[in-house]
Amino acid sequence: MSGTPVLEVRDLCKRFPVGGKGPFADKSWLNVVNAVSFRLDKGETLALVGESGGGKTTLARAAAMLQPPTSGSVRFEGREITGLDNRSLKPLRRRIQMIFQDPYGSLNPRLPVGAIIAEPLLVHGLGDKAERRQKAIRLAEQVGLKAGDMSRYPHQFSGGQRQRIAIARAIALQPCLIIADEPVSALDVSIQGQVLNLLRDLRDSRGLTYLFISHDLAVVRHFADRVAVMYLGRIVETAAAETLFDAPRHPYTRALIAAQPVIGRGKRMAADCLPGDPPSPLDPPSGCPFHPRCPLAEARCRESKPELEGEGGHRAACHVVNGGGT
Amino acid sequence: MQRDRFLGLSISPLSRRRLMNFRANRRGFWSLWIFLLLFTVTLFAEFIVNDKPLLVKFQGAYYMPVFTEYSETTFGGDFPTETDYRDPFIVEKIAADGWMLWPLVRYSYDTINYDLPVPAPAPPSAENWLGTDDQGRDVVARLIYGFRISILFGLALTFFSSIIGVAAGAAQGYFGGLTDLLFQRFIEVWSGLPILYLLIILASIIEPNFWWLLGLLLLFSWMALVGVVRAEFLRARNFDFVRAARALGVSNVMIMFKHILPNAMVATLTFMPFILSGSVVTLTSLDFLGFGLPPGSPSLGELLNQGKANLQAPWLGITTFFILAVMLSLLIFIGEAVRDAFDPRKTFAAAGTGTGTGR
Repeated sequence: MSGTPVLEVRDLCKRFPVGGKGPFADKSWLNVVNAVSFRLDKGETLALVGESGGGKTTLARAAAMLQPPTSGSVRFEGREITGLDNRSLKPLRRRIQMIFQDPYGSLNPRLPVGAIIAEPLLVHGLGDKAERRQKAIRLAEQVGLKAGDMSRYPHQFSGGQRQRIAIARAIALQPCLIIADEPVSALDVSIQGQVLNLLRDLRDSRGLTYLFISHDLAVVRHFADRVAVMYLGRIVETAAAETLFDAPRHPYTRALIAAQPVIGRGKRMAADCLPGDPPSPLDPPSGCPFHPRCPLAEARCRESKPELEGEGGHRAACHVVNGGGT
Repeated sequence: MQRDRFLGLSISPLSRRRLMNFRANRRGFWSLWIFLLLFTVTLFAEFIVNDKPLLVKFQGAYYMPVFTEYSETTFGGDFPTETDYRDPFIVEKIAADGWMLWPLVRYSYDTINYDLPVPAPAPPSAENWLGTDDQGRDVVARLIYGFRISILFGLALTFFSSIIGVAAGAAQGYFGGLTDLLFQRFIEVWSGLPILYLLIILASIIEPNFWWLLGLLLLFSWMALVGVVRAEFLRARNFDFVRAARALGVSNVMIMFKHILPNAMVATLTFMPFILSGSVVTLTSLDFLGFGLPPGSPSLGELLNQGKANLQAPWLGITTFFILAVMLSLLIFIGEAVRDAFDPRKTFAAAGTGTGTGR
């Protein structure tokens, strides 16, 4: 792992104002993403996992400059991209693409599939009309659609097919980074496998780098090289996928892995299940944000925030597992 | 049987269902046909109601006075001015060596009948079917031309105010935030102005013609659509396909017009017939007050005013009222049918029972 990373995120924060309206009202801030840092090398797949409301989607949107981050830096191929305006971002849009969770919402219902797939080519002025059409048909065939589908509308396709359309659109500009925001969680399990295989084939044939967001650990294990676990807008543990699943360190990661349904296993042990809901990010707990639900919590967890620490690329943010004795 | 073609164009199943819904509203459906018939007829008013003959044969040659001006000397008259074909002298000349083919009504909207047996306004007679107004002009001719100018004015006003309204609403909804806030406050102030009063003041400063009047009314009528379009854009800007377009690098303007507007058109189209009828009413009321179209124009409002001034001549007020009532009712019925056509509940209810393609 050397050279310039494809994507490097450092101390990224994103917060939203909530509550009072108007210039004089009291505003409180919702810290959705809190000082997140990671790097993503070429050809690598990094999975972000965590509960709903953990800031995964916001992080993805901020990294893709769809919602500019509040602070922090995002470097794409070594170049700072925060603070760029739309015009300067446009060439970068060719290199970073997104796939969205809901294939029913991410395709314009008024456009035929051919126009949807060819739109990125049109926007970036690639080829004339006939060339774009040819290219769109080739892309459609690459993702397993038929050339005859080009004049049909999104509502005439199933969820899996729509996600294929969205993928064809995303790879049309030959990007090097694809940010996939829960690309399979809206699909049936049998279709999930097909779409994941398609994404994997594209990665192998085109050397794509993925930032892959999911809450489904089985999918992540199957697909990712590295995993970052998010809790309340922070990364609490990051490691190579195998390491993380075989030897999780952070108690939250352990609880997540334990919470996976496993066929054939009897009653899950009550101790493995996390009590309660994630605390409100409006009023995050002091110290380690996980301490109110943590089975290992100690006094110091309430007082100071743990840092991500560890060796060999396996780092966790927990006083107890990192610090040894008190 | 599924028919996915309409007027020779292939249409999506959704449009087909909307057409079915429109047809299902029988009242609106027939209103549309009656309205289109009336409108087409009045568009060709020059061939039906005119003080010039359609065709003249004189000394072996054919003339079409509706299209071309001929001087009196052509027909053996004395002056090089345009021929007055109702002049008994000319009538005699032409009858001597040819013939004239007249339209149904031999009066134009500004033709004055000087041969009235009674003082104007004259009651209905064989010559003037609905009588004349207080300047001796034929009421039928004025109604037909007045209908046409009302509708054309309404259509033009609807067209322009929709363009401005959609653009303003789109900008507000799409950009949101401070743009939206300031624009909304401006609209609140602007819509708080007493419109008719301002129009009267403006109309008394300048002598309004058709286009001036259109511009003046446009100053206020564009606000009708802003709210609806703004709401649609506020909703749509957070749709995933809009985000996807942004991630592709599509420009804001393209996103607004290619991705959001087609999805926001339903609400806009539903409003249009009502804006049209509203525009007609506004023009009529200005004309009624005497601040509308220039004097001499065929206008329904001016006729209504005459009806009010000449209560002894009820044919003025009653016929104009009748025409206005019919026109506005037709427009409202059409608007209701359009609303039904785009009503998603009806659309999908029809899908569930009819074609069975609902999910």
